[in-house]
Amino acid sequence: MKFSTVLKIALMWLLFSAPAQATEEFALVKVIDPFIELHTGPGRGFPIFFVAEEGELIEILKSKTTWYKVRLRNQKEGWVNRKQLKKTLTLDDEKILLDDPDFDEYLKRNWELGVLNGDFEGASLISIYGGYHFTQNLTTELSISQALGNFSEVRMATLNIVNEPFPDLKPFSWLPYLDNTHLSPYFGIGAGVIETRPRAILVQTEDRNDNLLFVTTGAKIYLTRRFLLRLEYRKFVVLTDRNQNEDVEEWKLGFSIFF
Amino acid sequence: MEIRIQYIFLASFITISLAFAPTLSTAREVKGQNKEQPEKALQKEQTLEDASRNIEATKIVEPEIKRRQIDIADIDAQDMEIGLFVGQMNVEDFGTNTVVGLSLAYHVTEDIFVMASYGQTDADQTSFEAISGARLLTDDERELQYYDLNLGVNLLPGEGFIGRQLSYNSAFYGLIGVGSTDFAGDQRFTVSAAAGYRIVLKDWLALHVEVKDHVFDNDILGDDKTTHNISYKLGFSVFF
Repeated sequence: MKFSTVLKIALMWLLFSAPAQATEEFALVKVIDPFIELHTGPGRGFPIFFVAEEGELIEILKSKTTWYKVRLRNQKEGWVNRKQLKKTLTLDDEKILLDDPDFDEYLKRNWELGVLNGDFEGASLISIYGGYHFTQNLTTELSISQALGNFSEVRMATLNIVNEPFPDLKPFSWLPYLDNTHLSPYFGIGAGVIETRPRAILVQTEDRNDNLLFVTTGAKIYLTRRFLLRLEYRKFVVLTDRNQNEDVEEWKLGFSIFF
Repeated sequence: MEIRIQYIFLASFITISLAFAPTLSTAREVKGQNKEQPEKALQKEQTLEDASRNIEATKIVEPEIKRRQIDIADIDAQDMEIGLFVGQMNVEDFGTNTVVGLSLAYHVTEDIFVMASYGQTDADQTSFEAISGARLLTDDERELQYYDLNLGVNLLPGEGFIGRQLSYNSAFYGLIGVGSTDFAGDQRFTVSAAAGYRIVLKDWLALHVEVKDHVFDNDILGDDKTTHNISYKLGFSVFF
């Protein structure tokens, strides 16, 4: 497409879309691939109903997962996959940079949120946590857990510090299918509080509040996009006010998303 | 970069042609389109030969659109979904009542999402209570509240049609989760599984129909008993 045509289109666009532009501004990019495909919905299975040709200017309205809603000059709106949109340019002829939460993003992540399910000394455990990464290797995490057993309900809040010595280890590179699996082992220590509430069905005993210390180890496996699988083991020492401290073991498995 | 160099050449060409060769036909073409002349250009010498080579450049003057620097990463990502639902929930042995609740989801990919939900309902009397007049639970203990944390998978995404003109994106989805149910004075570990259908009415609005089985152990009537508590509900959610 010639520049004069672009000029005309741009002028027309300036004239006719001025009110819309005043309300909201969207990123404007130019297609440099021979064409990009517009789907009716944000998913690979949705039919392609239109193609935008090389040189066409498109507006990016919003995104859903890896799909971007775009608007063409003729006001047609459709969904384009990130892979295709990456092959477009901004108006300044610079390569467009899409926030692509791929593995590099995973290594640079700041925040992590996750849910884990497991076993706390025979009781079923549900745990949620949030983590902040100071560096690739060092993270602090706050977690809140609830363990439901036959005789008591346990509530815990813990704060820990975790070291990931090898954030991008590929331990299965010799295996087919799993060769691209990134696994990051970690170790940590932490402290927290634990509240034990005996079940109502038992003879009423008092709730107990104790402090605890623990060591932890586990692994994070990068799955896809913003998704991690996490396996963790913790060994607690509950500092009771009785004669002996209690040792408790915990296993859990879950998933996390990161930002 | 190339264009900038061309500009410099072009500018000098125009100045020279304006000053010394007003009759040069090619120069006239250029005159109207380039009013801004960098002063520096005067310092450079330029031959007519160079100038005529640059006539091509006069045709590729860039449109004077206001350049908008918008960070692509700032594009409104609507991966979060918050919703409200209402329906009926059966509590095994304790009848069926209205359940209300809310849910929060994050769509990781087009196939996978994570969802947290909270709901509450009331339990009626058991048949035993109704016949004998005995009371197994206090009113307070009859209030059931649950939360669960789920992993969801979108299955069979597609479009649903209403008549000839309207079509809506939709998907079946499956959920599996763990959580806790607060019922009869105790928190009970609960495993839940659900199947639902989501119709996306607008980009930001969806309608859900969902059936969920909440499985937990109940020992109110003596022995530990695994109960299946089914809820079905209708909900709206908003993407943000």
